[in-house]
Amino acid sequence: MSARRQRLVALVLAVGLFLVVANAAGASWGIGLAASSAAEAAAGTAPAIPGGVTAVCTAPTGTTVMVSWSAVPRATGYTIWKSTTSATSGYSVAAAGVTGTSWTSGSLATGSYWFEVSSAIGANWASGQSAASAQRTILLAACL
Amino acid sequence: MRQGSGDTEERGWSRRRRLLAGILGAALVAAVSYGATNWIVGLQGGSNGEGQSASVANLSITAVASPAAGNLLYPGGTGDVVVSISNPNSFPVTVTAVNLPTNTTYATGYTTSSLSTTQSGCLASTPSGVTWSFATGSSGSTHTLTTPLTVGGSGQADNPLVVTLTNDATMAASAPAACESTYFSMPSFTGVTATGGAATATSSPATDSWTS
Repeated sequence: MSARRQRLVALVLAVGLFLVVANAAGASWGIGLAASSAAEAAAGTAPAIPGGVTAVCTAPTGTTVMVSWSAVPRATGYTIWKSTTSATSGYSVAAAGVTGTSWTSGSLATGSYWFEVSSAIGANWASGQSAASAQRTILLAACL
Repeated sequence: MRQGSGDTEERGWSRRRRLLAGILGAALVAAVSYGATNWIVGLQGGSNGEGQSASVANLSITAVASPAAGNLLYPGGTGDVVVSISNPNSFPVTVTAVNLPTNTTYATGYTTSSLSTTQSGCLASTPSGVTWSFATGSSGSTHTLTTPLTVGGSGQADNPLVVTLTNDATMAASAPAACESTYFSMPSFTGVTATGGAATATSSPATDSWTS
């Protein structure tokens, strides 16, 4: 076989071999997406109201009170509400964004106090206020 | 004149032509055989894909159900998303990545899982704060699935393929209270990376995700 013929045969065989290998390898092709897709997600409910709220004097002769409560699942913070009126009315925010499950007041003036707690998830999801704690009274630099 | 050598040369050329014709014929048969079993199509992902053949069609992705209660969305967290992938082609299609809209393209909230009545105060325009996880400031960012998903061919098992995408929705910490207990229609994908060809279909329902 002449050299030229050999080269020609080699070229054709190489092309054929390529086609066989490509076919054996399983050629694939790109697929696109129809005009628009849809998918569904769902959100959970508002955080639960904290339970087990207690208020205790930090010391018999002090004027501070520590409020404690049970943790709420997924809560990112808590708000402490304080009333000097009664257990059922007159509440205002004493502290917000509290983490953990307890909070200690600053020095309290003479008077009676009740405390409630609410939980929060993120900036805007919040629970209702808990049941009121027991009353704490500050009198003559003593906590009762 | 050396007629003997000329005759020999002519016979040589005739043999050469026959040999060449035979080899080229065999190569042509191989090429036709190859073309008959594999589509060479340059489809691109996205809703504007073009095909060279009418028998190669795009996938469709639809909402089919809400996620299980175990991994719902809360402000500052992530949640699952459920999709149904349908393949109208006669051959399996494998999805390896998705293209996402921007991270400021928000989901619309609905009052029920049927996604028929919008939730006041929790709309895409509010905004709801719900987006695809890992979406970026650029539309069309590509996110690779942890495991390729293969949807069976038309009429075959596991088509459509229902998939739960784990933690692939994100809710901003600033999500409005109106979004509590709400169902979301996620923003449309801008495209997918998918190829057609022989592959074993993924069993439905499946679980997958992208993590970056």
